[in-house]
Amino acid sequence: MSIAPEAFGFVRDLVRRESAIVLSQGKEYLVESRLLPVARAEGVAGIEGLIEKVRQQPHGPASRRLVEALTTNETSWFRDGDPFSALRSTVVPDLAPSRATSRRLRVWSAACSSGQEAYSTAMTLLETPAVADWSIEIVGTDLSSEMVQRARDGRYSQLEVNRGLPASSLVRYFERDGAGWRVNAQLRSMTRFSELNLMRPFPTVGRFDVVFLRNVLIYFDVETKRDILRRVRQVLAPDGYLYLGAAEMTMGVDDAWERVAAGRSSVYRRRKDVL
Amino acid sequence: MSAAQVAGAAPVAMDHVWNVVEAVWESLLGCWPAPAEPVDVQEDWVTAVITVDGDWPGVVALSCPPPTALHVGRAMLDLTGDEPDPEPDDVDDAVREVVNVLGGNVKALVPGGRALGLPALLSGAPVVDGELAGELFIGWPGHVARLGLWHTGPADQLLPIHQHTEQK
Amino acid sequence: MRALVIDDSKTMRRIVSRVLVGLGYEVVEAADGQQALDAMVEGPLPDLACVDWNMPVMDGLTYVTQVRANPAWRGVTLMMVTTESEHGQIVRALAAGAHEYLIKPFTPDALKDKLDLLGLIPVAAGEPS
Repeated sequence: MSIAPEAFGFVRDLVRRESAIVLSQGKEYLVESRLLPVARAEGVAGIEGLIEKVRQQPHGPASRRLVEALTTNETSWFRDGDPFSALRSTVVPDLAPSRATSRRLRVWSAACSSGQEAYSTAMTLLETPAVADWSIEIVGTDLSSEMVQRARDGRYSQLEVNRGLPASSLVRYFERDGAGWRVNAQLRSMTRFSELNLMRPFPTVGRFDVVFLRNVLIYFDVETKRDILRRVRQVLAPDGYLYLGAAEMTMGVDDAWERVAAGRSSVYRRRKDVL
Repeated sequence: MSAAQVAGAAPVAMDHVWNVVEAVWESLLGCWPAPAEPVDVQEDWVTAVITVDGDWPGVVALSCPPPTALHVGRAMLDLTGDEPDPEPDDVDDAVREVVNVLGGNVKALVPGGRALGLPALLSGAPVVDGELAGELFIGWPGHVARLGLWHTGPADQLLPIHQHTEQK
Repeated sequence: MRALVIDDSKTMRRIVSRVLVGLGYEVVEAADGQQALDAMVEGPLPDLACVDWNMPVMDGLTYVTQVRANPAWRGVTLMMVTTESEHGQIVRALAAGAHEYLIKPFTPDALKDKLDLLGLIPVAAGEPS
């Protein structure tokens, strides 16, 4: 089933208005796969039915769910297990020795969405003995001010904490909060969140030892991807690590990176001969 | 939100109970609920009840028309359109399990919630020896249900739930 | 791989079993902790037991405690699947020896995520393990 151009246009305009994310031509597959479940749950016939419902209630729940379905970064705690075990087994052992005096680690979650990646990073580092008592700062940024606020709050529903989060981590790092859960003060003290548009020049953010840029470059064209990767390199420590999404790679986009063996994760470092 | 908050109300924000309803409907019934206009619980409606024991003892009751109870059964068992209806016993079991999940999550919201009872079914609106502390009307395409939360006495009193009407 | 699904609700047993069968498990059902223990004594040991908390005859916490007290049953992974969702209850269950804890309501994907964390998603027949 292919989404009609007019329907795609409607969805694209709505998403851009509500989230500033641009769904370019070629992203029809994303729209179909993410919106069909939304249409089913809304009890309407397909994407056309969902659009009709949204037209009738332009700021209602269906509209919100449509936008969320298309803009939520699909990381979920440790569900994509590998990036975090790679942090523990490969990245930290490599970075720690040269930081043994400063005992500081800075991480950037560059499409932080509702904060799960940043908090999962915090939980992982707290359980990596080499750096568990270091000064750890995790900065999470996102285009959407709503997402940034959600991340800052650190509140998650019962359904969200069921997804890929070990029960032992839940009880160690979260507290009950109304009908859901909230990350505890320790996790909140290690993280801070702000708005940032990757397409714009980065504000002064200092240098990072690790940057997570997972599943966000898919929204941009090749030129923009290249530019973002170049600017990320500028804020990454010389021996720092870059994480992309599982199916993403720098090959064909930016040849300043080399892939690192880290399980199944898509992890990169600056090539030695590149500044 | 059309949640009714009654005098002497529970130290439970019905907003939180609504969040529980959302989680249950989305995950177990595969649909998204919206607050509905209040409706009277009819004599032929199916009601599932469960007791919550603890510092704030209470009763949670979910009531809905029989076709909605059937819908709940079908949805939980993930039956597609052309599969036959489940047996009545299976529909009853499904509705009891929904109130079980609602009750357990409400137990975590009330102060000092300790023990969850076992769910039971009856017809019509439950008449509870206690104060109605909160009420939600839950709507989704073609359906409506009412969730009531009562504050009852200590657990060693007689079971406080009665049939709404005696059958003559 | 074998699983034991323990819940006094037939509906919930069917929901959990459906996910497990879809992943390739052979599933045996029990309606309370005692039936589950009987099944473990009488039949082949399961790799996984998904157990509700509040059940008549023997509740899930007691079942977990009994299983963990038996050295012969060390290889059985225990996941509680329950509406008990207070922080303290989860701590109790993990302290009693449950390996994982899935809060009701849950989605099939959430159950699969937990199995993935436990390394209990069977490799498809014919694929190298």
